[in-house]
Amino acid sequence: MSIAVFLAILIILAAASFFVTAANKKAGGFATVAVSLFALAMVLSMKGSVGGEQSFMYLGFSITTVGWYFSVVMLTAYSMTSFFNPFWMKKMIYPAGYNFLYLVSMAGTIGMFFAGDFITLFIFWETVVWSSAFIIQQGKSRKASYVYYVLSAVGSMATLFAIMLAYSVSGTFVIRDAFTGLAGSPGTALVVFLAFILSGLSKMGIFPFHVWLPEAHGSAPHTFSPVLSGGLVKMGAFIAFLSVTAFPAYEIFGDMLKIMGIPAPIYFLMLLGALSIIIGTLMAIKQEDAKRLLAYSSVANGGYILIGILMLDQVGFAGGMMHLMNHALASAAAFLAIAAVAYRTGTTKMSEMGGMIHRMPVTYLVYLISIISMAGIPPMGGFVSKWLVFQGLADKGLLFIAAAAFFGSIGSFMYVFRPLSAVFLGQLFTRDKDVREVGFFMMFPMVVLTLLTLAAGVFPNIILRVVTEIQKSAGIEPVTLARNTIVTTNGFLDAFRVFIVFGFGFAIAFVLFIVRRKSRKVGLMDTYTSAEFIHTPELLHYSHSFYAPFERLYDKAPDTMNMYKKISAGIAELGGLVEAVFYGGKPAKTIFWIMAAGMVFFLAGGVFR
Amino acid sequence: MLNPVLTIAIPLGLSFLSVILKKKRGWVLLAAACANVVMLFFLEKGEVVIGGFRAPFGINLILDAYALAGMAVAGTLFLAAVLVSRDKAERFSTVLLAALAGINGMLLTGDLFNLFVFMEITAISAYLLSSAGKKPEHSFNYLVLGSVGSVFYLLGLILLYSMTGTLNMAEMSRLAGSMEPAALAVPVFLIFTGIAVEAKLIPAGGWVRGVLGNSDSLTGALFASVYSGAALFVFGRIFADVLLSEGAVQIVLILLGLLTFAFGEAAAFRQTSIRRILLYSSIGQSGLAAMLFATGLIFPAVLVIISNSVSKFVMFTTAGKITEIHGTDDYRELGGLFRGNRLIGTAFTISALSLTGIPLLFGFYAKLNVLAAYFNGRNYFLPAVILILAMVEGAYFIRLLIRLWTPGKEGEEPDAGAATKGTGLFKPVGAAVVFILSMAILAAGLLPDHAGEFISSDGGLPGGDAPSINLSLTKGGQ
Amino acid sequence: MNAMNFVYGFLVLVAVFIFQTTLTGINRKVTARLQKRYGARWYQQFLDIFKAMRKDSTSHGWVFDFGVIMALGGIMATVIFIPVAGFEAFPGLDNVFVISYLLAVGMLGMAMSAAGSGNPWASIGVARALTNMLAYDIPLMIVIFTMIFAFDSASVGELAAMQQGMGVLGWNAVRMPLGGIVAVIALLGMLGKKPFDSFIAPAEIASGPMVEYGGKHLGFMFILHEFMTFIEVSLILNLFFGGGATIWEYMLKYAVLYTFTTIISGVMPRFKIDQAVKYFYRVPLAMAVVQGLVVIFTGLGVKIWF
Repeated sequence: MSIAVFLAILIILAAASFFVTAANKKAGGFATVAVSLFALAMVLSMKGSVGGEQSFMYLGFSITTVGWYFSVVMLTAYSMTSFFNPFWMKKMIYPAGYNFLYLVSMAGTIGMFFAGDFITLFIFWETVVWSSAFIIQQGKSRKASYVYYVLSAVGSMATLFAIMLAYSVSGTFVIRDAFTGLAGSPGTALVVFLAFILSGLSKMGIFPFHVWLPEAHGSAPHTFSPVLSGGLVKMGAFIAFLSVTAFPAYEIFGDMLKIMGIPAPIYFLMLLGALSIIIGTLMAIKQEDAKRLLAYSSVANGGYILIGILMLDQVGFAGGMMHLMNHALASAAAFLAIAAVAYRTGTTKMSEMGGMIHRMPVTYLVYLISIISMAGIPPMGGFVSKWLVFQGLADKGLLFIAAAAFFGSIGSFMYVFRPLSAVFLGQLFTRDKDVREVGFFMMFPMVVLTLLTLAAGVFPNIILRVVTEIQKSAGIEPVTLARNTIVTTNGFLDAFRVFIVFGFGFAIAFVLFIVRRKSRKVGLMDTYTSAEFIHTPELLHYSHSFYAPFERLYDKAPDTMNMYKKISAGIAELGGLVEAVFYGGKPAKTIFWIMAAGMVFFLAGGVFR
Repeated sequence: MLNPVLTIAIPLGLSFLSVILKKKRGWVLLAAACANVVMLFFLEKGEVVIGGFRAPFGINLILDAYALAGMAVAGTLFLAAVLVSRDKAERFSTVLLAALAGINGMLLTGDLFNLFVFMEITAISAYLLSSAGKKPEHSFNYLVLGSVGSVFYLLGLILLYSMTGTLNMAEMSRLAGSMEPAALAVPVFLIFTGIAVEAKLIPAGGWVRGVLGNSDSLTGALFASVYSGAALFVFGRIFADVLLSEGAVQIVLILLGLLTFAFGEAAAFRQTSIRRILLYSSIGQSGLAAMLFATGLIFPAVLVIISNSVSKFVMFTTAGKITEIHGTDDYRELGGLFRGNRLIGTAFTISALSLTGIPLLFGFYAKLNVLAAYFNGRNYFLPAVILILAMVEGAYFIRLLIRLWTPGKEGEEPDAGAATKGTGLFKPVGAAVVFILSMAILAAGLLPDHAGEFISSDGGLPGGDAPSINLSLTKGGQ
Repeated sequence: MNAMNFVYGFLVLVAVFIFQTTLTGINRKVTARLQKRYGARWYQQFLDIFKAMRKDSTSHGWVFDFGVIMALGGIMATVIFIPVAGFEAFPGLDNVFVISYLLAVGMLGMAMSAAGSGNPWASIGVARALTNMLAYDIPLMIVIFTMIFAFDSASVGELAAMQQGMGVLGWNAVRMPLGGIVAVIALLGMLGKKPFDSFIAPAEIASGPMVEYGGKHLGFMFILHEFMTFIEVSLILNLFFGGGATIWEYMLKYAVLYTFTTIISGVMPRFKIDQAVKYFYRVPLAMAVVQGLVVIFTGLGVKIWF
């Protein structure tokens, strides 16, 4: 099936889901499950047709391994999240619209990843932007959708500029040819490079565009946040990928100033990635809302992905490419777990919950494993990819970027532990005494994602084999893989053996635990309280301002959002001035300005000709 | 094949007739509007000489692709406006018929003085229409500025006549080309001012806020789409075809367009009233079109005018109806309005998204052509500005759309109960017209190359301008 | 990987437990002498652990138990990876990132179990412990990063072996003096020694992660602590002080390094947790960055050495 037909079918199915939802909400939700699973199956089956070029009217498609890989990541997030849709339909204000846009944005991402030329790329890119913007507004906040759209527009417009500029020089929109045609003019190439990657940066939430993530991820419908964080931000990674591979950045900037062997423009972008890691981490630590916290963690992880991809080498690049899969799996699972909790309790505020582990143990395990992966702890997938990024950085000696990467890694222990402790551990609130675990249908995608995360950590080479193909197609040396081992210049990693030894240690501890006398089970309130009598579980739960001493150290740091607010206020102020000066409703004023314009014409005609 | 002069004569004749046929004047108007659109398909291309003297001595009409495009936009939207607000239009039948004749004349004429006459006919009808807003102050302002503009135009004309000895456009174009560019500065300024009043360009558009800010579903659509579209076509005819300026004068013209564009978008950004957002956005788009014409980029400018006129028609009509029914057009008080009017909401959304240049809508094709035209001319600064302003435009439109679709307080899930009550903004015919127009935007956006060919088809645009980009030639693998 | 690896691994665990617990007992005596006390017997630590394991215990739910098992399991797996004087139970798995992140599994398990007790004091203690970790780890990781860059290896065993054969002058602590100082300061933080012990200090035990533990749970925590100490000291010893060519050299150096931290701890006051962060991000971080820049840009101390 050609891509165009595939996309057309998806759009038709999206429209069909609209009408199904209009007839029966729940059925419409199940329709999204069916359609997204169908899309996933189709894309998985397309692995064999890599290398084909197709066109349809003015759209051009090219099936590449990297497009396939990104599509699989994206569709995994979409299809798994869609299992939640049927259960949230009654909370949506436009359920039919939601399902329609959900599938349209999904089709858009596929079209974008398989785009063969920039016009196609841009068309599908924008399709995803507007469709997701209209989904986000159905969540808690209208402002979130606005911020998301505007920051996306910043990126889109810059990218459009880059595309057209490249087109004007090289005379084509075909992705590789358009950029390679710039090799002769490094100045133009620099502008194209920086403008083109801007949309990727804004989508990934790289500083200073990160402000939309907490707003949008935090307030989007609970069923869309996993897609946003697990899927849509990865579109930015795709742009970053194109920026360094289709645009042969290392070759074109080869003569420029180099820092540790990295051309200055790329190093600058890496620094932005490093800043995102630090800012994302610090901000995540101080959030009170679980979804906002995870959103900031996506900012930090976006930094890793960007740094990895920009390195374009044997090891770090592989790490970046793998990390985007691992983060997609883990982040989608974590958001789904929070959504499941919100489904039962109606809130995502961490201080309004506690002890959910005693009511929703499976959800707890899903969240636990996904955060272990996000924090880069073995034996989960996130560890392998972060390990690769660290190895790549160490190989190149990029000290400052590595420092940020370490900071983000250790800092992530702090922020991922917070929802774990505040939402799932600690005291069970009286209100939630009778809460039940979510049903099988919602549990299923969470468990699948969790198993995939674990599989990625124990058998990372399954993913890395695809990454090596991508590396080959990008013309760089692929990462060396032995049977279970990843080999780098600085050492090797056998994730499977690490997992086995971990299991060995766990088994010893387990045996040691059960051979000792069985312990007596006591209630959660039966704890040491300095001889005080406390009978309210809510009061005996530590969750608000969890890291207060640490947060105090940087609570006066400037907020990037203020910068945007200032720009916005500046434009409005200019608008006010214009209104008062030119459109005040006094003809005399207008005539004055006409005369002033006349003077300018006189001068132009007479003096400055 | 029909003689183009009929498109002027028939509405004008019916205009007089409608005075007599008081009861049936609505039908006369509708018939004329329909006939006008139908005639467009059968008009004879080329030059028509009136009165037996050949140009440059006689009076002539020129029907080329450019004029036809202008007439098609103006005529279609005129008919649409009449269909949507039949009851209101009926009261102004005579005026509207005269205006239709004037607009067709403006677009067809090949003579600068005739242009003045037709512009006056159109302007007078516009003054009368603006009084429908029941704010005489604004109509008066408009009248004053319109008169000033006319006088300036006439002065410019006299200067040009004394310099070249002709008023025929083709002749003038030939003679002005051989003149010292500096000598043209003053007449260019005078004529620019005359047209700028109608085309809403800075510095002469001072009347717009008052008139369009209080427009109803009929006048808003007419002023923002029909009149303004026609005025911009005239602007293009003069400044991109007849009086080609160069050097500093051209830069000043471009700058004025650019300022109008930038200032319009900035002013729209801070508004909360839907009509004001739309009117400032219209000002901005006029500025863009003027800027393109002044640079000599006719085809992209035509696309911008068409895209803007159709979109603004849909949006202004809707905004006018909203005001009539809900008593306000402050979007903050209209949360969730489209919940009860989903079809109209969709049409409005498509139009707004098209204006901001979202792909697969007509506005994207226009934007792409604008950018490609500038880049082909090795101009990198103006595209950057255009894109930044497109960002501002996207920002205020998305804010408006979000609010109109989704009710409920910030920080809470949308609340269907808080949605602005009321369904049926339009009567069925009106709703159909508005929806069909928005679908046309979508269709033309899906098949951009066909739309582009259609617009620049036979006869060609002045200067042989053609689409600056052909999407079909850009697909992968070629 | 065959059965022998697992047998060796198990033996390593037993040996490490005996060695480190003895050393802890001796160090309790050292601390006592510093404070002009007589101090408990050297095997008191064994008695404490065995006693705790024999006692009845209470449990606050399955995560309270599961966390303890996960913590000890993770830590024991890490111990198996630590190369001791060239010996590794599972050769080739001594990558420094593997060790430092596998260590985190144990810490996460401990934190989970503590927070799962339902006692807010435990959560506060965990919050402090994690903050402390963020403080000491960044300077240390920067120095280790520099080392990996300089020697092109991330294997702890290889890095240790490279320092041997030149006596004291071969040690990384001497080649990279600033880095060495950072490492020792970070070691104090890792071990929870004063001045960085606010999360685990005996005086604050009622407001630390350990507040709810008793019986076998507490026994597990004691064992865990011994293993963790071994991992941390060994890491610094291998990376900065040349490890040991023989097991005896290794044990001797280890004992000296560990006792040194105890002595420092004995004479220090205590930082509040935010003060600790501020301290680490001022002095040691600056030293680590300077050290890193010197090594990366000049090769001084690594590529240029005699």
